[in-house]
Amino acid sequence: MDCRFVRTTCPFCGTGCGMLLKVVDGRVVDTLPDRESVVGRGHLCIKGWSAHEFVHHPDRLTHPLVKKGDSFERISWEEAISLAAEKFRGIAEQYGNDAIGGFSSAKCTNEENYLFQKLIRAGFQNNNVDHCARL
Amino acid sequence: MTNSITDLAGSKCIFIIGSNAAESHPIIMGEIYKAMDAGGVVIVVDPRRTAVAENAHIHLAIEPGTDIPLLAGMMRHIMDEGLYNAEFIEERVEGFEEFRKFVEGWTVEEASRQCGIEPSMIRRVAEIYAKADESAVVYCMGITQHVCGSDNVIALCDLTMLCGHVGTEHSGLYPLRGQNNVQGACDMGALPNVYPAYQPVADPDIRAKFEEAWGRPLSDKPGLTVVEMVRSAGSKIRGLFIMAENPALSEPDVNHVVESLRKFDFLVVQDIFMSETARFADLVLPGSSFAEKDGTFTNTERRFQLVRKAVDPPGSAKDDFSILCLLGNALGLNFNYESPADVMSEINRLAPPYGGITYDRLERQGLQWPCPNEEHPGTRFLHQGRFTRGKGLFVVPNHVAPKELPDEDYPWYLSTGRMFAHYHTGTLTRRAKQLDREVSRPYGEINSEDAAKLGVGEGGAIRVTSRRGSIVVDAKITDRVRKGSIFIPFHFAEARANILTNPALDPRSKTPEYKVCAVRVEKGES
Amino acid sequence: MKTQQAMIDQAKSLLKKLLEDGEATAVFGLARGMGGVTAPRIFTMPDELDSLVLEPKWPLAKPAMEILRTAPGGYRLAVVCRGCDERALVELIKRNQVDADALVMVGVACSGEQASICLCDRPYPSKLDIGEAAHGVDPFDDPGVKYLLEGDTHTRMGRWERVLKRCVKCYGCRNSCPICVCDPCKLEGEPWVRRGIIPTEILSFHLIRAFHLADTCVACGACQEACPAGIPLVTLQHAMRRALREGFEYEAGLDVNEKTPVLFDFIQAPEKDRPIPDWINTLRD
Repeated sequence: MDCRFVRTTCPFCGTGCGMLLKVVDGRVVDTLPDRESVVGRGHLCIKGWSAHEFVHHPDRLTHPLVKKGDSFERISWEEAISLAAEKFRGIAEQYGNDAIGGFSSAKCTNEENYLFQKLIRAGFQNNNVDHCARL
Repeated sequence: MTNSITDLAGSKCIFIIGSNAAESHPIIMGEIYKAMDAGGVVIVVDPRRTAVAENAHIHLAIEPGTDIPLLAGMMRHIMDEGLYNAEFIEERVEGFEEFRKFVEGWTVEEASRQCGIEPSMIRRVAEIYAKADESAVVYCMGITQHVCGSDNVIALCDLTMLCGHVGTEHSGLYPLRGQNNVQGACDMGALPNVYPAYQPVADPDIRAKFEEAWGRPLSDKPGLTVVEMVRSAGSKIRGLFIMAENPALSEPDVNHVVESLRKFDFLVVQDIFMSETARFADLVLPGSSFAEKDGTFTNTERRFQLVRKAVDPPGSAKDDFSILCLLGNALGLNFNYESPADVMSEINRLAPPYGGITYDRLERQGLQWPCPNEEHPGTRFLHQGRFTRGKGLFVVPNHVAPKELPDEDYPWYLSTGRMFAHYHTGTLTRRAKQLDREVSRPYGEINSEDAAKLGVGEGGAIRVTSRRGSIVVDAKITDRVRKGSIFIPFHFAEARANILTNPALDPRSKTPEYKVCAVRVEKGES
Repeated sequence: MKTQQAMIDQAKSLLKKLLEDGEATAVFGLARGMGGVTAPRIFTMPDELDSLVLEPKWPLAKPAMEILRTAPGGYRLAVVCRGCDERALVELIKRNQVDADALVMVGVACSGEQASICLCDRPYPSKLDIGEAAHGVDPFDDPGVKYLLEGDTHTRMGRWERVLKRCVKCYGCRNSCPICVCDPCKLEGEPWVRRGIIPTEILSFHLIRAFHLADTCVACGACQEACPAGIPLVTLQHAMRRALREGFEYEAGLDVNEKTPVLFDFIQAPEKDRPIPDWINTLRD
């Protein structure tokens, strides 16, 4: 049995409490407060204590999906990435760069947000990038 | 926020306005309790008698959307009694004369008439805030989600500067940010008018710096916001990439948003669940949860903290960093980063306030920006001795009444928000057994007298209708809401509170007025 | 008094030997990792124990129980135990939540300073392997405890109401309590506790918990340490534990073979002032 405690940061509100994820044989099975964290100091709220519960939920998306009629079909990553690039490039050529936009995410990391805004700004020479800070 | 979360515990007066921290930020509430136990006074302003209000020394249940009148009344009394910090203003703030005229345009009595709080209480609260050694202001969406949300914030800034309650350990302003990395998303330039670290896209020198670093020409024109992009679906905006956001639940007037989502020529949604928004996508990319990636989040006190990979993403899902690199490369952008730490070094170079933030230094307890270089210890509180812009500036706030107030056809106030067991659009929390057990159905809080009039018992169905749509929720009978008011949490996809909400925006921040709109409430068919 | 480093060295060599001799499959204790941060860790290789530390206090009984619950057959876990960890594990063994044969307890003494932080009257395990026993503290000498337990009913109720009303219903007290193992938990369901609202009914939630643990609580303090609202939960338990000591000469966690008087004492002789009526003796065989 491989069992580890991984220090990380709570994915819910903006407080950013430190937490430990208990990982057993490649699955996150429990959440514990991190008593060494300066934020939280060994405390979590009801949501924080439940942070592991959605990680392995059966509803998780596991494959890229493309819309065919009213339903979705699995496609490979290669197909998905080239489809996205082609379609966005096509729209930019037909309607101009300003016709592309993106919503980045308050749930994603700093590094991902940085890359996302760079992707829109450098990829399409516009500044149509935002996220739900206001909501 | 200007200070750090744990600094709150040392405040002598904590003025909480438009925040139900006990439910939305329970760990921060703990610091507020510590302040109380050390002799601090806690004042809460909220139309609802929230759990925070229940535990405070003083609760002012103001009329919805009358924050500026209340604050103006308080500031008038502070001026009249000479309780303002003349020395602080003289040394550190500009614009006092014009601001004084604004305050003198108000009386405590007029403020009282508008906000519904007795003049004596307004005076008392003003005195406590002004006289305490170090007073802190805590606010949240109850301040910002109004058509005059930015002005509400301005009024709070004015109050703190008037009394000199900023720039010390236990004073300052504490906006409590709602999402784990909303601070970071803003810091990283996921905003239409600024690059990372709030560097304006319109500034030619800044733009030149990024053009050189990224090797691409860039636009000097600020882009569109979320709400504007949704409204331009199929016209100005044809292709949209949504990463882990759920506007089909979170935007105001969602019926209209759903119509818009169908209009994009090509919509890509990257998420971990088939969200209400992802259903409208042409292409869905499976991303990763917080437990499946390395990186950093920045909390509400500007603290960068590490997120560590604990497990692999399920199936062939990828971490979002890798997906963005693949897509960037497919668009010819040379996103050849080896790891998120690589991206952080680029951020260090291009965003000066984050220059000293490296993964090694984050191990122990993270770092609070500004942290310009590797020797800098980070910044626990801002504006010590000097404001970021040099001198502070009094700005005259402009009070605007809520855009939609109760009338004959829609006689109730609706406000929306969070409850303690769920989070945002519920995509994550509703899949947790413990949380679902606590609350599994959409509900609206109504007063017991209203419930009796409607003939509805606890858990009975009520239909709530606004000019934009109608939903049915369970009645939760509690006297923490006032008569004629209903509060509905927005976590539930099966009865979207945002079908009802008014898409009126604050013109500056573009924040929708979630906290006030007019509805009709009837006994529903269950 | 041994220095902290000497205690760590002694613990390392003792635990290494357990792993090397195959006495334990793994060791559960604290490790100092990157950036000097301490966190619980499962050590399976003797060399890994180089990062072992004994401070700060980190209640390990509950996570140890949970590890053993999912462990494969034949797995033996050595747990670094403070006095309270040992007493909690003894209670769990009594209640068949932990298999005593799967557990090796390595006892560590707490410092006197730690005892005064915890208001602990017994800051050492019964089987003390590392360190020397420090003097305990009488919790009833503490002004905070006195404040909440003294005075008339009305005064005490008012004081408790003020602190209990702060509950944010995180369930942290239950989640971190080594003894809270009921499934389903009474705190989760109506009619006992109204769901979905805070402040929760102050009496039902916290008094259900207090009474549930009355005869098993070992006053480890994990509940209070996990409470974001700073509710002095252990004070309730100090009162319960005192009642058990005075009324039944019983204390939880000391002896695996000693049964709780709350469940077993009712079979003893009836109360003197409530004699059984005579007609009972006239019943036919």
